[in-house]
Amino acid sequence: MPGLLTDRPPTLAFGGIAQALVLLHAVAGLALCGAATHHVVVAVGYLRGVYRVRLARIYALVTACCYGAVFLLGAGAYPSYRYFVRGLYFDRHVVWASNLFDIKENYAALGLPFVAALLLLSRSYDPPRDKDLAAPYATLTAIVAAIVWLAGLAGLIITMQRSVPA
Amino acid sequence: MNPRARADFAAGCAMVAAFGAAFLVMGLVPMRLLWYYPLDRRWLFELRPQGLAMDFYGRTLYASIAAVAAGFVGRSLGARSGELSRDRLWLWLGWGLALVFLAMALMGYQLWPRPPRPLEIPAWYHPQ
Repeated sequence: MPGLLTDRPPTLAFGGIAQALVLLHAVAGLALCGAATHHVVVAVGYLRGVYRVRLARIYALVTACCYGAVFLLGAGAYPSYRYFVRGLYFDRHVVWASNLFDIKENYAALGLPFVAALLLLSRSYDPPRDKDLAAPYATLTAIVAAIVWLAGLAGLIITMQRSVPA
Repeated sequence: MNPRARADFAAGCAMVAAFGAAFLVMGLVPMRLLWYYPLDRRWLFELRPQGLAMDFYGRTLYASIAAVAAGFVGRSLGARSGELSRDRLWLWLGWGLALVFLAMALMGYQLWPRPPRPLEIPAWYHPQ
């Protein structure tokens, strides 16, 4: 396996910018937490007869853009994490962090269709007219927010143990 | 209900259900997946990897393809269906949620107790 027997660290895809990718991943994640949470607040308003439709559409769009950005930035830094962090350190010294990361990444992936569904639905959903959709819509926003917060907090805890090298 | 919203809701439920089902099936049934080998920087389509490899990209890609295909089918069905009752809306969403929650439960069950497989420490490695 390259990298194991040589005297130099292996060159991985995006390895040179992995730390910058993780930093941007975190910044986009912050914006994502904000947008997803605000979207829940607006959707709960639909249940109470308060219709801020334009705001919901903006939050759905911002959530989708940030989710995509967080996902792509994380995917870019992933090879460096897999080798330097998990392979050489976590799997030897911090096994729970290694397993938590894998659970987090899979849960985050499972959030993708929810985000796409909300983006699609927010464009056509007319809350004053389609009252029966208010609760399902609010449920979708709550699930996205829950996944985003779970992944964000798990990511912070994992990064506190060790992050990708410069 | 607004016909476009009904079609979009059906598409969304179908996407969620298909994505969850794809993750569930890939977690339960051994199948050939797209594996990325970070040290070799190459992709291989295989059942079991040889060495350090990552299946996350491949699994997400497969599930996304399934979700997009299901979304088109769901949208078409939603557009053709008549007025939907509140129960029917929850039934559609419930299928998606059930499949995603099952996939999440499976991931947690499989990954949390997973035994570690640390890599051999290379010559250049200096612990900090």
